[in-house]
Amino acid sequence: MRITSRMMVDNLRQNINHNSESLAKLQDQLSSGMRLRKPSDDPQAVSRALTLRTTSSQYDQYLRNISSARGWMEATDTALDQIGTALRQARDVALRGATDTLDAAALRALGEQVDSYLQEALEATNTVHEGKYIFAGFQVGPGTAPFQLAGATVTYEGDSGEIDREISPGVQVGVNVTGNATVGTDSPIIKGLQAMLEIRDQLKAGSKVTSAQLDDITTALDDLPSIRGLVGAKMQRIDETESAINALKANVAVMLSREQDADVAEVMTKLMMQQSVYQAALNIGARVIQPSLLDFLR
Amino acid sequence: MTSSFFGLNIALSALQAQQTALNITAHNVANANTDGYTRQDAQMVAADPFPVPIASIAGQAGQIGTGVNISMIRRLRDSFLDLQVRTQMAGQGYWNVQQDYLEQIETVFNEPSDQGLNSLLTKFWGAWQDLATNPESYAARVAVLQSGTVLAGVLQRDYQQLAGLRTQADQEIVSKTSQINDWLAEIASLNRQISAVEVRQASSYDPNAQVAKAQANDLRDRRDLLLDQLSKAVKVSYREESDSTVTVWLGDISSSDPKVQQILVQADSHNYLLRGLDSGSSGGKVVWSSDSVVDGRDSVVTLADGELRALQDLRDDTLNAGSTDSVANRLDQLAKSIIMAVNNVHATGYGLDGSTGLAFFMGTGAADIAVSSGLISDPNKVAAASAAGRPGDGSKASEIAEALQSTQRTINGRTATLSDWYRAMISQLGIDSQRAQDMSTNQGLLVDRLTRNRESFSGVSLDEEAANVVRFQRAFEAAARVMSAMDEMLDKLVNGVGIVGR
Repeated sequence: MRITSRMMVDNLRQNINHNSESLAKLQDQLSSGMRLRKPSDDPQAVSRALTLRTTSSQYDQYLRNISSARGWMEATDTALDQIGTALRQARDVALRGATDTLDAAALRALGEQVDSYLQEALEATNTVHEGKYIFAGFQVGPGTAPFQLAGATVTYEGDSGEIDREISPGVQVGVNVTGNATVGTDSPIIKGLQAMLEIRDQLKAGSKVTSAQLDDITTALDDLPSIRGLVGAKMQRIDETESAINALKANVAVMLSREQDADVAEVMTKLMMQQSVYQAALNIGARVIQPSLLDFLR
Repeated sequence: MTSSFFGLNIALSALQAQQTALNITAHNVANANTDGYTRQDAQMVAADPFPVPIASIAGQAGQIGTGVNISMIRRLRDSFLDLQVRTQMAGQGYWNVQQDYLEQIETVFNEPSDQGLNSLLTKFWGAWQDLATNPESYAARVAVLQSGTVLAGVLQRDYQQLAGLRTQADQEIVSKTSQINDWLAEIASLNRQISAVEVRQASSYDPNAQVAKAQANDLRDRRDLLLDQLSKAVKVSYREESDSTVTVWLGDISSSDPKVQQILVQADSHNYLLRGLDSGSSGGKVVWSSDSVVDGRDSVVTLADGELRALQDLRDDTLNAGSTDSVANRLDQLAKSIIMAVNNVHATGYGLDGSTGLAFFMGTGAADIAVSSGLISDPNKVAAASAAGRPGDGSKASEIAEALQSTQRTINGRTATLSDWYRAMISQLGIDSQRAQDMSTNQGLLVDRLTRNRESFSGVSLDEEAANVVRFQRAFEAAARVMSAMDEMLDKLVNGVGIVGR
């Protein structure tokens, strides 16, 4: 085949260009750490990588939601604990105040005690967590606290709204306990506060506590642990979900890395090989295109 | 018997022939690096011999040679190799343009990255989730509006960039048709010149005598180069006629029916291509100019392959928002779907101040999508609750988040979630771009190899020319020597014969 000088030069130029192209691409992969720089690098892998990125971000969001849910539920649990303690102490005092052995002055003193327990319980029911009333349903404020004392009645200004958190795809869990949460037919929190209020007023008036009032406060006290149990169960559930999501997240990170990250060792090796090929091409090319017959003719 | 000066004439013809051959070699060397140059060589033919009577054979004449003639200056070009190269160049032109534009489109979308729409959609969803967690919060509302603004901004920007690419393609069509017209004019002009040089002319003394056909070598080189350039821009067929002109058609050689033929150049006249008007039947496509119209033939030009066809396809399909399933169209549909998905739910929700029935996004599509200005000036109107007066209710915000991420919707006849739909769009873009790159590389390699074959046949080899220089120089020297010898002999004859005893 007849070879002209131009063919040799063109050939050299094309091969060197081809080598440079490969070198540039490998360098790009190495310096960015990513194997996928644009969709055409590997369309199917890019599609998978996009899905994995979205999933990973979503898991982060769910973890944030879970953290928020946990904070709320812990505040609820603490508050319920405080309410329970106040109720118990108030009932103990009420029991003493139900006997015939005390005089009016002593009963009034007991009334003062119940009052302090009532205030404690009221404060607990109006707990604010992250700027929101936790027992008010949707009426999280700012503004009127959910539990108000109006004369001889305890009023609940909140509603029955369930506040949900999405803890995993499509799974909503209610994080709150409303003030009017019922166990059976009664609302223990309202009933308990109401009972404490009546007992206080009764004792302050110098009378002994009626058995009806004793029954009320006992019922409230007995029903409260059910609510607390529910909260506990939910907390356990979100803990489990959290572990599951963390495990999934770690998986996704591995898969994402496999799709989009450049294997540094592999790219380095290819790069060095490509460099030596490039140098060889330059070297030999230079030797071949230079001499011609004219150098040797006299 | 021959005349006295017969030998001198032979030597003279040799000198002239070798000198001409050397000149041709010099021309080759001078043009070794000229684009499109075809090497030339001298065809040396022994001149017509004379019949002379000879004693050795009775009743028959012998032949004596009369020297050398250069019958023609041959141009070493294989038209079949040319045909092969040009056939593939149209494909190369097409895929080069496609590759270039599709890579630019990929850059517009910038995936996979944290700034691409995939990431922004997820962030927008996250903003609504955060609002669902803190529905009473002013800051959460501002964050949602902010996230929506960024999303709308990027959608608009990407759409505008695609529109910009479309305008660019259109402008290239205009400039390319203009360039093609220039080439066609030049080919027609060369046709005329080459024909004038080459057409046989009968001798005025003897109508049967034939003058050696002159070759318009360098003009032909110029014409071949133009045909190469033309082949890359549009797919053409061509044929050399008996009068040395080349007839050029668009597409394959088809019927001789003038209503179907798309002649570009014929003899020394040519037709013009134009980028047509936007209105009417052409819709901006390439058309015949008004003085190239043939009755009954479609005014819109049929382009089979080549750069012009690629530009037209990109402008009218890939980048055209009006063309279903084009990239621009899909982006527009995505924006429309986001607007609809969010607004439908948002209108049924209640803001902190009790407002309801409000839209979150303004605009009709990717060209003008934006967050409602009413909401930006009063973030309390952003709806998160399902009823008025429920500051802790984030259920609507949660519903909007779900509409963005998990609700299936049907767009362009396909049903998927918004994110899946977008990912499918990017995937398709990647596949198209990859295919363009592969085809472009393949065609490039093919054209390179065919060009190399052509170069091998027609190219100048400096080594070969150097050897030829030696060859012709030596022949010249030898002929000069012969002439000197004859000169001496004649001198002897003239000055030495018949002077006996003087």
